[in-house]
Amino acid sequence: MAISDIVADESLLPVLQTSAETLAQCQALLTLLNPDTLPNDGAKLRELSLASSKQQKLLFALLAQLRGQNRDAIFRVRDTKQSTAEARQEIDRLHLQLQNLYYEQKHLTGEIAACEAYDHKYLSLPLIPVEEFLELHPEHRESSEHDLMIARIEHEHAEREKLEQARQELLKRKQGLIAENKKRKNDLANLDQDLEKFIDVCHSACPSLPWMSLLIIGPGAGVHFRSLASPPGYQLPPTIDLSAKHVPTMTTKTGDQESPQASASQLDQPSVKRAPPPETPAALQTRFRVIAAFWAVIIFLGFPIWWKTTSIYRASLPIEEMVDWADGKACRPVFPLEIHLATPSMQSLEAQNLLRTTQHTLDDLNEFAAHHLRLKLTDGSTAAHNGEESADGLRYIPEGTADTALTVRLLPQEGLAGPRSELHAATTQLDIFYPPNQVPVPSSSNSPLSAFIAAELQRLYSEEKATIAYILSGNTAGLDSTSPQLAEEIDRRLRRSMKYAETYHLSFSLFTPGSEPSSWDIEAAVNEYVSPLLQAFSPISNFTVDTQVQLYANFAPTAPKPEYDETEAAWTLKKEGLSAFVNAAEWPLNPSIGSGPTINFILYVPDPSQSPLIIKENRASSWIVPQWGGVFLLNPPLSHTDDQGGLSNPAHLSQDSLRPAFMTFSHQLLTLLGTPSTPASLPLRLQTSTRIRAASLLLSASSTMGSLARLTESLPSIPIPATVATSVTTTLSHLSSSCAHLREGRFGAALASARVAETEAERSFFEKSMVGQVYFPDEHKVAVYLPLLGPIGVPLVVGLLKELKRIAARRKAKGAAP
Amino acid sequence: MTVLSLFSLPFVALILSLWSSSAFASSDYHEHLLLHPLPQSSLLASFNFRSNTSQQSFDQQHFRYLPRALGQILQHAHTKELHLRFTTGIWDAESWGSRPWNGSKEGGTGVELWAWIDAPDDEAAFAKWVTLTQSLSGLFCASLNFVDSTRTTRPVVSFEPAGDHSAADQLHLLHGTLPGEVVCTENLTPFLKLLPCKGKAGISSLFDGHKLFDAAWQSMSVDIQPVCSANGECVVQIEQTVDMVLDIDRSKRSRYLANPIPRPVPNEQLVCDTSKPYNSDDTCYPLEKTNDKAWSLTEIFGRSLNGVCPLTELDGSSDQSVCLRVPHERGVFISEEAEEIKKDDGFTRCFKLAPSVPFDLSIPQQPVNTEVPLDEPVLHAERTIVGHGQERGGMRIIFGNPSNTSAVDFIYFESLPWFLRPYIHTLHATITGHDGVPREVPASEIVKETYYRPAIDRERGTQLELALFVPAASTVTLTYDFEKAILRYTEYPPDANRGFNVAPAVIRILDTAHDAPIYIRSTSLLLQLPTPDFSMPYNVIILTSTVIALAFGTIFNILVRRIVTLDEAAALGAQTLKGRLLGKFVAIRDRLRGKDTKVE
Repeated sequence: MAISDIVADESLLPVLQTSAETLAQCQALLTLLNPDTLPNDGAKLRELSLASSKQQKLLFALLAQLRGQNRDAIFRVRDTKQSTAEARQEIDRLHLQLQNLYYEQKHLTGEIAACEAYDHKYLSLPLIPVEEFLELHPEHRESSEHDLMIARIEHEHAEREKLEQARQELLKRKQGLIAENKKRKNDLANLDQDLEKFIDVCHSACPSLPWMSLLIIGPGAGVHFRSLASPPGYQLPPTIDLSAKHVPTMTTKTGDQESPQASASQLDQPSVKRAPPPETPAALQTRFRVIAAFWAVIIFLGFPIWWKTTSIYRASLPIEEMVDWADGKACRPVFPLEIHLATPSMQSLEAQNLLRTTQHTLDDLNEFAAHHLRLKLTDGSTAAHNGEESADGLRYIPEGTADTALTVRLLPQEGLAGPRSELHAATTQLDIFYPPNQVPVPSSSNSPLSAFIAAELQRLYSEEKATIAYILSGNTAGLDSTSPQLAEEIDRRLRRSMKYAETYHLSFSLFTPGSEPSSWDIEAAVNEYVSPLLQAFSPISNFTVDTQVQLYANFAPTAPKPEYDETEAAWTLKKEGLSAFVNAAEWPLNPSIGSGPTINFILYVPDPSQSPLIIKENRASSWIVPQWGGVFLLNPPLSHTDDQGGLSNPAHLSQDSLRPAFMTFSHQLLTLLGTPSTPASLPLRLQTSTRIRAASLLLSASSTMGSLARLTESLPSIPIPATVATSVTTTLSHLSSSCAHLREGRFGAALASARVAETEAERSFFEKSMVGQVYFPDEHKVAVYLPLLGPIGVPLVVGLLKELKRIAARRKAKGAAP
Repeated sequence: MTVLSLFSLPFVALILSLWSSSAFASSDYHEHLLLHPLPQSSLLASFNFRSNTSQQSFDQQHFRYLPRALGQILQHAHTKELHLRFTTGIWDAESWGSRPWNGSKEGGTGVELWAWIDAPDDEAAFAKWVTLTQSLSGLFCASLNFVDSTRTTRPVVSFEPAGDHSAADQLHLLHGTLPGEVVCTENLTPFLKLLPCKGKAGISSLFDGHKLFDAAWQSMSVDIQPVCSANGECVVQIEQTVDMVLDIDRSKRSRYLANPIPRPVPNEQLVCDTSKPYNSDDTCYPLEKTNDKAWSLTEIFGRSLNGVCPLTELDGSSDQSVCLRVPHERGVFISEEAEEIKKDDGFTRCFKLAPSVPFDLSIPQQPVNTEVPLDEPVLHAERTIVGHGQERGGMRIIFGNPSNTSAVDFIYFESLPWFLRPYIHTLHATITGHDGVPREVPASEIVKETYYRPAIDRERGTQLELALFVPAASTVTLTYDFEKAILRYTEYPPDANRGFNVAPAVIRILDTAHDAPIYIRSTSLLLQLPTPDFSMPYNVIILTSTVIALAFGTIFNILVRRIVTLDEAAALGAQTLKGRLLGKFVAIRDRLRGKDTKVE
């Protein structure tokens, strides 16, 4: 193809021409310079060179022209390109506008379609039917469907507002009625109180009551009738139901206004990003099942295993019963003492009369109801027999009958001005001698003899009564006749005495700061002075006796030293320094092995250089250490041993020199065991001791039960083994049997039951396994298992929350849809 | 008739008084102290206290010399005979010769207890034994309550009852050791309280805890046994001994004033052997310590002897309560009121002390030519653990018979803890005779009888009793292998890496020449067991938990997560809280950069 065919543009034609010329010029020049035709001589050569340079200049001119034309052509191309681009931009802009218009149109048509297809609420409004409405408002018969609907809705609105107003009114009425009801109720309550007052007054005033009970029933029935007869309260619920329908309607209307915007914004989004398609129900269900399965394993397998393996065994205890015992509700201990009256030389009629009058006098004198004396008539022979029997040492307790506390024998004696009494020291027998003329005649209700007997008995038992009252109530305030001295005495004795135990270990120790005396006649002394007393106490407790000799027993360095008193010519210890007398750190006074407390009796023989040693304040030589034992300072006669006039203690203490010490120890033992100081008869005192011990054990076991109940309630983490439960059951049964024995006057049996109850109560309270040791605190366990619980727990909980949220959303959607 | 009765009355009274005096004689008290200088400037002080109480007053709990606390423990635990030992240190038999009391009053390192208990059967005996150990633990402030079933053995032939027991008693011998127990002053104080004179008078006033437990070797013992005379009268005898070997130089050093902190001896005060060729300023060969050091009771014990305990019977030889074993040629200064009695053997002198007057005894420095002869021990014994590694080990026991003429028969008793499991079939014996050539022999050639009770894990230890003999001038080496058990995590003590104590072996020499048996005890051993890293359980729990959590998280996420494409995820992400927050963050960032974000 020729170049002229390709280049058709007019502006380029000169270029083509010029280029053709240039080509021709070039060829001419070339032919001129052809080496084949080059002349050999110089003239022609110079001529030729002149011609060629001329030709060359021509060529250069042509080339310059060609360049200029080329530049023009390129400029023109640029212009053309620019104009083309501008035109194209214009076209693009127009095209975009068109597209927007198209889109707008599509959107609008979509909107219109959405609006037309919108499910309006008013369509679902429960309106009254059109026919009915038209009947009510005939003027709307000709109006268009649209106007008709508007009219119907407005009608409905007006109706509902009316109903709402009615509801408000009814509510107000209801409030008023409730207020009135309350007021009436208060009135009725006041009336009840008035009535009760009235009844109380009437009770004391008029003993016949049948009409009162009618009156009490009357007002109650009236109240019932009134509350039934308040009609507005019963009509309220339907009203509320009706009016409640308004509220959701209103809210849905406001919701309608928002919905088009929401749908529009939803339609906007797909243009930016493509949302995933909604999940299929199958996928949702699978996820729900997975999460549910995991949680099911945790709840039905993991949780029970955890619970089972970490829970502690707690046996069930009769908490209420235990608390009842502790509060004294379960049992009121009573002490009916049976006293036999033996009247060998009296007619039975006279005797019975005497018995009756004495009993009356006694009952009048008695002011403490729990402790009372019951007189019983026996003939002389059985009385004597009973007396001997109880003198034996209280061993034999007849089953089913009450113990005989005392036998009173009435013996006539001539030549007496008034009756006189004599208490046997070794038996439970009281002899009363009376002048025969003082026998009361059957008709008289009072006689000096019966008054005397009653006063005697009252005197015998006054201390016991005060003690029991003190134990039961914590003070003697209930008894007017108790003197303050006696009350203080009882208080002191109870504080000093040992806690009750089945076995006491008695430990007699001889301490001396030097080397002498180093032996004593202890075996004989114990047999002579202590054993009879222990024999008498054997029904109450068992005793073991051990003795020791300890030399070189010095005072503690901190203890106050004895001081020499010139006036007494003796070394004295101050009363306040006595508590530091026993050097507990160095003297081997360790408790005896085996159950039961140890009572220590210390016989201290002072150094010859500090003899005699007494207590400064009262010159006494012995004292009691409360709930621990007793100390006796023995100052044996000193002897001159060597030539320098040195004094020394005897090397051996004989039985006779131990006598004062062991008499004191016996008294101290009685005090430490809590035996009362009166009456003079030892069997009577032991009987009293039995009753006091039974009462205190009963109380102590009961309070232990109460403590145990409180403990188990306040500490939910301690285990309660089954043995504790059985111990508690045993305690409670023995407590009740002990209470029953007391009520029937069998004090020995009551003490035995109370002992078992106390032992079991202590065993259950001090059960070792209840105090578990915590090896791993909870924080440690959590810290160790956190790497497991954290990463597993978080996804599980988050998964569960998401699922719950989804379910809640779906339910709401479902609720909103219909 | 009347005359006869008049005569008979004082006669009866006389008989009664005689009887009662004999009854008093049956409760008596003796104390004795033997001081014996040993080679290498040591001093053996051997204290002995013995008292009797009649069986009748013991049964009725009337205690006079017998301490009440101990007596009640024995009665409560039905213990008829009791032997209790507290020992520390090593007896150097090569230089000090045979042991005091022929070894019958000493125990292995730590605490050793054996008792004959009256009980119908083994279980009852063990229950009583537990009561006994717990009560003694409280009384002596020692951890005797840790003598449980794994540390209790019932030796068959190693011990014989020393007291006279009635045939009606069903006696059970139980033996327990605590090799790791550190004996110290808190054990001495209750020991002193048991004495009638309580360390305030008599030889017991020399006891000072600081000196006693500073000794190179010391042993405290309590023995209680019934002793019956030929006429059937029985007493309960309590014997307490304290033996100690003190270093004279060390004890003389004033501890509190001049030298409160131990320091090395200055160079110029060192006693050097100048005859050695290498002796120079910086090289010193210590000169052997000689026996002629000057010392006194007050210097050695830190206090003087406070008279004699007045309870001692003042008749016969028993009033010579302090004896000293030095050659008669050596001069001894004593306090004024005391009286010196020299014995015939040329080496022993005893002193009669005045009551309640302080007594002191002082020996000046003096070159002596004669030496007090020392008894050669009948048998040397040595026990060591051999082998290496944490799993297996071996025991090697070497018995040496120094006698050139006679063989030695003895019982070797060993109680091993259950975590040391011996293989008795590996028991081998080697005899080294005069020539010094070891010769392997079958064990049955040496061991005549074997009493072996294997261990049960966590219930009882191994009990091994061998009756064997060593020929004259020979050395027998017994070896056996054992395996070390792996303990449970909680069974390790707080100082687990220290090792576990193995109780000393007891050797009872059956020598017909002596009345009393001769006892030798080996040193206690320290057994290294494989010890775990104690944080291991927690590491295991935490690591396992992490692995489980990882696996669970992966599986759970795969099961629960929804799978979408990337741009869908972005769209979903924009709706979530995270997406919105991210979008806001981007917007704020763009605004800060001032970029125009308009699309148009």
